[in-house]
Amino acid sequence: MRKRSLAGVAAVAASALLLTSCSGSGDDPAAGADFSAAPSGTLAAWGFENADDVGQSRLDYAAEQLPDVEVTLDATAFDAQKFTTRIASGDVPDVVQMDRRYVTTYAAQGLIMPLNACFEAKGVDPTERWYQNVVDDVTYADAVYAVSQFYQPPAILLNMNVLNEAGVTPEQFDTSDMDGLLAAISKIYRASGSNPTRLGLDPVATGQGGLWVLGMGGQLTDADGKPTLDDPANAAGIDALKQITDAQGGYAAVKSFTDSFDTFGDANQFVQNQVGAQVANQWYPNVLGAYRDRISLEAVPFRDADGKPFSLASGTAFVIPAGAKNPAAACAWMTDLTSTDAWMAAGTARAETISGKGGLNTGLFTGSPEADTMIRDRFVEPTGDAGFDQVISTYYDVVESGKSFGSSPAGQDIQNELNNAITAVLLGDKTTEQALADAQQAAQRAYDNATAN
Amino acid sequence: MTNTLQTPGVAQARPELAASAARPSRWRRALKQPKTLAGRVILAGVLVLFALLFLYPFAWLLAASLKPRGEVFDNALIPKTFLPGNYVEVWNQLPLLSWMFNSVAIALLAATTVAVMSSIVAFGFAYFRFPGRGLLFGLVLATMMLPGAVTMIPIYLIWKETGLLGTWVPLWGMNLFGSAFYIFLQRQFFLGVPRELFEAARLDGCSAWGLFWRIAMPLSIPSFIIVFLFEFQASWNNLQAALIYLNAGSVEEFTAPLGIAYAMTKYSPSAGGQGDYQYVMVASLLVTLPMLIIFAFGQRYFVEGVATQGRKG
Amino acid sequence: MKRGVPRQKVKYNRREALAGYLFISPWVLGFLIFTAGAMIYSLVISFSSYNLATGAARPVGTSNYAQLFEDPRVAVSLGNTLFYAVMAVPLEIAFALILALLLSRVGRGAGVFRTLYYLPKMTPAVATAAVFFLLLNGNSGAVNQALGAIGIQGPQWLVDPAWVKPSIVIMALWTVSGTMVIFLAAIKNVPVDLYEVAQIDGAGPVRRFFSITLPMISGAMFFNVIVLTIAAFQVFDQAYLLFWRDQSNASPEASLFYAIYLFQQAFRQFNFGFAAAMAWLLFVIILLITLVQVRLGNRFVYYEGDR
Repeated sequence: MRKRSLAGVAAVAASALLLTSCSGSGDDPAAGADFSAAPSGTLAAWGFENADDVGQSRLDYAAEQLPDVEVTLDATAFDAQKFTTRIASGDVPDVVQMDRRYVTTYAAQGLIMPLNACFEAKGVDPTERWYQNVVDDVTYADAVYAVSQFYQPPAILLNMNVLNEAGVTPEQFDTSDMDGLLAAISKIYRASGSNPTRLGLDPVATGQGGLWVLGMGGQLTDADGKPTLDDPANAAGIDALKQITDAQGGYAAVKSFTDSFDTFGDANQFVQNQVGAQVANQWYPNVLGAYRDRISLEAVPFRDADGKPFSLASGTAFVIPAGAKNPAAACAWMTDLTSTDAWMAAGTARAETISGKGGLNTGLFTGSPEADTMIRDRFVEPTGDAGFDQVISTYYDVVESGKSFGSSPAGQDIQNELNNAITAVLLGDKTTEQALADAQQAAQRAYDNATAN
Repeated sequence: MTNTLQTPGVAQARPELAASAARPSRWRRALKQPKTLAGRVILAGVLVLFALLFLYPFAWLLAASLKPRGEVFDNALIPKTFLPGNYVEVWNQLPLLSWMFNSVAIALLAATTVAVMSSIVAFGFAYFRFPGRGLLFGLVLATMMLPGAVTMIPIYLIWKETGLLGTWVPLWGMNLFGSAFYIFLQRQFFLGVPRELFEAARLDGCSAWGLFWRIAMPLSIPSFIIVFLFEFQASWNNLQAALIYLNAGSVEEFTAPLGIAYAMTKYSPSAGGQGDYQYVMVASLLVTLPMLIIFAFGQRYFVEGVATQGRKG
Repeated sequence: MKRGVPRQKVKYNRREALAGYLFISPWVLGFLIFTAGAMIYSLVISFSSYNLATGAARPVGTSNYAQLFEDPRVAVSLGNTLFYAVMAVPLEIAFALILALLLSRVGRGAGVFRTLYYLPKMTPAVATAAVFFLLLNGNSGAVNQALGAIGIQGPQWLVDPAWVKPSIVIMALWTVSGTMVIFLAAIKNVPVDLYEVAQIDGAGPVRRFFSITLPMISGAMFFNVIVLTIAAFQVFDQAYLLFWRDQSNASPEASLFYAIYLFQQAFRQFNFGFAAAMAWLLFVIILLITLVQVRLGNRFVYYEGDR
């Protein structure tokens, strides 16, 4: 009897606690943040996992510019659960580095600060500093929410040793001509039993899913950021992926094979001739530069249905979480890190590393047109390897034709659901139509949740 | 264990049984073993085969931990390139020492508190008589069947209110209130202690707490050890709690399971890593080692503890 | 039950009762806060919608429960979990029983084998997952290499939707020794005389197993089935580590177990309301299944000493 009434009291208390802890939502997260104050104090930053010479040199540059600021860096990868937990517990860092596709998701929920005031205070014009599509990625409701860095266009890297052996030319890797592409792939594909030993093309289905779907005419979001995953035009890219993986033993076999690649090591898939071609971001030729005497590379751009080069803007960005304690220092730090001077320092550091290690300078793709051009003019010289030179200039060309993913409050979910759909279709679990419909339903629910509050 | 011969009439109806009961016990054992040499060889063979199957992953783990990155995926039980340096390098790659320390500390806290508190509660149920005792103990048993998911979220929110989210406390704090399964185990044991012992101490003027601390506890040391070891293992292995409470903190504060999960992602090529799985193997082996050592010393406690569960049914 | 005898009123010694209450008070306190209180709290949450930014919960009536039926992932993950349970529990029971029977026939040396078989159970789930992640690789994993040696083309264990659940079953079977130990203890307790009588009567080993061994260990069997079923419904560790640890969702939906989806909703998306509703659904399902099992068990389980 005692127990029952105690439980009753507990229940009432719990409900009361829960329901009365409501506060008004929809406050401007940046209200009260003074970005023009002189930066000082401590700055808690989260990002720069595995910082290389490029990252370190920019960190050093920013440190020089902000002598009164003490930066503590949590150098681990961005983790969505960790981020939301920190917000829930009220203990947020001042700056967080995350993939650009997540930015609008958090912006729509009021969890990060809009940065227009910050840009004004520092005299930065977003459309000047960055490529248009890079800015579009992080714009929501007419406000820019992040400071972007890097622009990694993907293209198709060709392993010329394998191509020559099979009698295939680079022109055949034309994604606007699927028949020709499939024919080229079959010529190169080799298997032992039903396990691939050499792939004609590794399309990197889930890592580069957006490239394939958007490149073949699809549309992931509309102008307001609402998901449009079930747009029939999205089927073309997924169907293309299915044709490509089915022609090489099926997605499961292909994935197990690619999972075992020694991507960063001496026995990588190009040295071992395990691939004829692979969709790769711009940083990978940089890794392969160390093996240039063992491999012969060329590159072709991804082409859309009209045969024009196509690329996607991808990269990371810095945001200021709502409730950050030192937004002024955060603003100064972020803008310094992505200034042209910082990038030049990075370019210099990279050039030094390369000349020390004997690699190739494949350029830096910073997301800022001015920095990109200056770095290319100063540091990128003919490498003496015609193949690598062609690869480098292909990537530079493809930067121009970059499109944005689209900025959406459900951006993270759209990306996840797209991957789910692609996986389901490639494994033969669902039809393309069904997979996209399911993905759209889930993404739409996420969109509604994000915009409801 | 019922002796069939005590059932009336069996001895008369089955004189041969009465005879067999009179035989020495090694005859009883012999009945169970296969009679023919072939039977025994096959039995041994099958058992050895299973033993090899069970042990193969361990052997594989050891071998993989000694290989360089490019060879981790090949299946040689003897590494082509023998790289014991992995065991040195892993400490630079991952904060393994912190992880192990955290895990040990938390497991000790969890095991000690739960063993002590569960013993106290169990003694309460075993010895004292009070109204509602049966009902309350039934409630204890009922909570054993509750899926953790139902209370997972409110418990998280409760810890959030207390401000103890980033600390170790959520991972062992609830053990301060005892835990149903261990209460059951300890109660079983206490019930086996003859009441006369306590009555005698009572007459000597022993207090209730004294009955527990001076008489019941020392007698229950084997059972206590079982509880302690079980909870130590459970805490050592607990991934979900660490995921919920420690994930948002710094990597050095992870426990071993969470740390290894983090390492699996850190080195995963699809997540930007470089495929150095050999360090994941080394870490896994080092994290398993304490468990194997504990088992080597406390084996009979584990087996006895597990067997007791089934006996109740 | 004796009829006609009035029940005696039990008199309680007040001091003893007080001492009893004091001794069990830690558990009672914990129960009130972390069990009863938490369950009520959980119920309240399941009728509200939690906002991460403000930390506030808005009451939303039954919409979370409605969403349980609308969200296809709930049905998929529930189906996956049920399918897994139906596959795993009988296999685990059979394998554990076979091992226990084998071990029970060994005189000396049983201890050595028992130790060896128990070792996998001591391995932390992370280590198991890390090892099997490589062992079960569809192309280069040891399991498929072994299968290939006897001419079977091994499947893509960790990628093919049809084989992801069997991979978890394999890992569960590797750690089946806990169940085995319970069976072993029960088998050892079967009076040898029964076997003797049966043998004299001419019963073969198979007949002896079904007529003597099985009924006599039915209590342990009952216990194991219930425990393993409840565990199968809460599969989390290995599935999470192998398929859902990465933020990039590239795993087949067939590997989405209910506990994983619940965890994602609760601690990745912070949809506490919906996750709480999911938890209650799980509770009801497990309760129903356990009740059914108990009912069936009471009919089939043979308790020694039953009059």
